Amino acid sequence: MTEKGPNTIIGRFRSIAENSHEYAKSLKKKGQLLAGYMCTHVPEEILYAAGIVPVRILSSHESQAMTRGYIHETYCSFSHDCAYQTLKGNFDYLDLIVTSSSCIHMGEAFNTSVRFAGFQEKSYLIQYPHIIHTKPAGEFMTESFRQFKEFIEKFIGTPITDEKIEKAIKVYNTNRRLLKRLWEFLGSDKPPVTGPEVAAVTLASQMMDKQECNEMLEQLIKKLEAEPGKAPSEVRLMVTGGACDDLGIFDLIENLSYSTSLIFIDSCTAARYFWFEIPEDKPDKLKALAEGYISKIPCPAKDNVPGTGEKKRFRFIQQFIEDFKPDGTIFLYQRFCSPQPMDVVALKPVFDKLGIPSIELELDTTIPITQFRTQLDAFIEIIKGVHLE
Amino acid sequence: MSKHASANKELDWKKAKVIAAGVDVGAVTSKALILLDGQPYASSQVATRMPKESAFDAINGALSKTGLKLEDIHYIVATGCGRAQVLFAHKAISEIVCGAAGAVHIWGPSVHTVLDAGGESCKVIHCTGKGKATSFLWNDKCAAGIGRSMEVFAGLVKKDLTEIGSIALQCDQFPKLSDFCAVYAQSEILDLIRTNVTEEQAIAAYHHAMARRIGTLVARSGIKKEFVIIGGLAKNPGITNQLEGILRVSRLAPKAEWDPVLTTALGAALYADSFYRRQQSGATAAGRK
Repeated sequence: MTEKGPNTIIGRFRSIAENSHEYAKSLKKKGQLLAGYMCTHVPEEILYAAGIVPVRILSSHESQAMTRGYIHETYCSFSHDCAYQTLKGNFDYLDLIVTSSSCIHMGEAFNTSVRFAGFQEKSYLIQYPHIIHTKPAGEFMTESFRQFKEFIEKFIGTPITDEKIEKAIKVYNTNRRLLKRLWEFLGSDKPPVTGPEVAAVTLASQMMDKQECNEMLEQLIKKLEAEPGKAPSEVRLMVTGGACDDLGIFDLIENLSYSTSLIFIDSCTAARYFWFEIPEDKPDKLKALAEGYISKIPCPAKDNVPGTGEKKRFRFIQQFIEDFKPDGTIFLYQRFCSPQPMDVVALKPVFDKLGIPSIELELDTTIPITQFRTQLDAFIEIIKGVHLE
Repeated sequence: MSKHASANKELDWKKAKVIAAGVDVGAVTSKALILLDGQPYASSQVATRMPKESAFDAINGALSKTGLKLEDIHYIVATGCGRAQVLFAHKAISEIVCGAAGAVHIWGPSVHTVLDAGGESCKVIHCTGKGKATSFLWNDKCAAGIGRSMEVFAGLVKKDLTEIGSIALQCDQFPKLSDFCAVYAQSEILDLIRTNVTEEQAIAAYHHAMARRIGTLVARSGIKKEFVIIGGLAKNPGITNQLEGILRVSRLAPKAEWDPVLTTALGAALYADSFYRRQQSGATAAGRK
């Protein structure tokens, strides 16, 4: 591995992201316990401390009609697709599935998997407070994580010690720091890596054994630090929105009729997955986990500061704008998702005020490439100020 | 092959300094428009089949009335959803930017909102008085409110697409349908026809539902006056009248000398003219050095 260049390592990450079942099954063959998780509010550290590798359940982008009998039509295609995969048996190798009470669409995907895909006896729903920016929310989460830990202890038949949780916290924090370092390359004038490459690495990290992932990330970062970097593109684009595991859309953003680069993705499948840390060496490990997960860039489904209506995520976004300097923003969300487009209503004026143009694109099971290309080309033409003379 | 082709016999292309063309390959129709020193000279419209072939058919249709050859055209800009497949174009630009430029050229600098109601999509474009697009909003994936769904509906009620809008104007009392989905609306229409409404009422009801659907898009985007409608549905009075009522805004009246379907091709041709002139002045400036 040390002899290989950054492209080889990125290729390996992309291959894991695109063939996640194959990767997970290779772990399974080695005797590894695997837990599928459906939401990034799941404290993976507890699973990892128990010797279980958390594997994110993501979609397949296959057009299908199987789930219409289980989940209402107006639930997002991402939730339909995830449920489809469990129903089809694509995740039969999992020992357990877990989610948290956050997105109601993914909640239904979870319920469908539990009731109809054979996960009845091997599933857990972590209770999460509806509004997380409050003191009681922290206490609630600590207690909820305690119950989850007890469930996992019963599941594996062994207690999970504080030492093991602390070790897991450190492995996960290392992973977060490495991913953050990787994304920071995109903020530089001559990034040695592209947005779609970073998106693929981040997606792969969500299904990998974190120690293996960290080793690969360390090598990749070392290689990238030695790279001269590529000439800057004419237009820098930022994406903000909901879950998107379709790497094709990110490839499209960098392959338009104009010179563009994808420089940041604020979504739960990208930066929101890792852009936080758990306080280390705290006496109460579960309280530390609760504190860390509260400090995450919030999901729009959870993001309300009581009494003010303020959105905490917007503060992060403003910081990302300052650090990554986008020329334009793409609001990218799943069709039928409610919290994401509701946030757009409030977020668009923030971008308008900063003079950053924006565009909305709705995701579905498959992407209408030609139409998206036209919309994005037009968006770039507007940013570039194409006009008659 | 050409559905429509025409040429201005008062102009002589041999005297023109700049011959520019725009080719708009849309989902339903492909259009070509040729300018001689910025003056409209020839145009054509053909049904889109395969984008590559339809682009050739459209430009050949326009050329057929003129004696011009493709190689005589100094600069060609392609636009529309099939723009990348116009192999003979010098440059491709999106229909958003071309639609705004064409609309302002036709109606003048007071235009700031353009509704492009085409075969495959509906777009609301905001622009400056110089025709520079500043923002746009595209319809969502649902087919409601776009030309293709109107074609399907015309087939359903066995009417010609060119007459259906006028029929919709014949009655002002009609049941209200769902505007959520073109398919649902058509199912509701079939249900109404089986009960007690007249054919005219059913057609008016469908137009009203589609106009509400388009109106939602326009309202979301916001109207900055003046407002114009381009694209195929601009020729359907059943839609445009209902839309004006729903939005409580009058559009600028269509220009008799301009087919609104050609607006985006005109914008592309204007860009072709502009790019060629820039190219020439750049070459001249370089020559001076």
